[in-house]
Amino acid sequence: MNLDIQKYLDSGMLEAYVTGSATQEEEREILYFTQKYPEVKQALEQLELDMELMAAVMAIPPPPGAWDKIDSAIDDIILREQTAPNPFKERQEQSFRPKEDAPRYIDADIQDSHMRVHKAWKWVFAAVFILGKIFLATAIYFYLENRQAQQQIQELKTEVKALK
Amino acid sequence: MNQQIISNSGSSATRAIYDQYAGLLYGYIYEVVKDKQIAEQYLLSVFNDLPQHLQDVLQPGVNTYNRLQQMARRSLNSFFETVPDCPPADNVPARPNKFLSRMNAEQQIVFCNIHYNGKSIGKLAAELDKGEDEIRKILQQAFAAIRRAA
Repeated sequence: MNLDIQKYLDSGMLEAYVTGSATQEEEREILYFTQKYPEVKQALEQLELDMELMAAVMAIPPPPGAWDKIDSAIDDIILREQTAPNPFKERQEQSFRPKEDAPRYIDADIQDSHMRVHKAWKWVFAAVFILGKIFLATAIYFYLENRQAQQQIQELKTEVKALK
Repeated sequence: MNQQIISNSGSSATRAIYDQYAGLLYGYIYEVVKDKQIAEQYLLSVFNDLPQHLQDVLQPGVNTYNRLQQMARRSLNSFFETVPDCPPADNVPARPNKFLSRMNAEQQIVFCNIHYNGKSIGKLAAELDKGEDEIRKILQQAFAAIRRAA
């Protein structure tokens, strides 16, 4: 047997596990070792049997009527589980109608920074974007045209002055 | 319908486990609470919860009694906090216990505090001013005594 495993078996860790006094981390470690090393698994099973044997020697017959109480408690749970769910009923149209004096909207205090809009707004946003681009191109075009015209006027004025 | 079959088989499985282990568990709980009426209440509590844990308890390779004892300990958790320290070594068990009588005083105190008073290794180590490894070692020796008495 591996010396480390023997050391682990002698550490008392398994006894702590069987008595429920091991920490959660130790429990996870023990379960890992039981899966990995058959010796650890066998030792743990033996300790569990020791506990069971001790309990068997120290057993006391349960009080008469104890099972009846447990049985009725379990029956109660089963009856609750077997209760048929309410059949689905289509709700009446009227129940959706708001009262005459009720406000059409309700106030909602929402911390979210996002908003939801109808899908139809997608086309409006696209049209606004395209029109924006067209206006920008047109503005640049007329600006350049205007600048060219100004230059030509300036040149003509210079020519006229020179002819005079 | 399936729910009913599962529920009914759960009920009969609970009955089978009760027939086999209720006495063992009742004996253990009585050693902790030292009062038969209180012990019965805890026994009922464990078996009332059992149908929800049947899958876990009846797993292949699992020691059923050990699982029941774990459930009982969880149920007794609040009771453990009210239990005074284990009595002196010569007066540990509520009833004659041939397993405990095979242990020396130190082993009895460690085993009693852990098994019947629900103390963790860390807490007991601090109380007895010993290292956790030492407490585990004493606990292991206590188990060796149990095996010798068997």
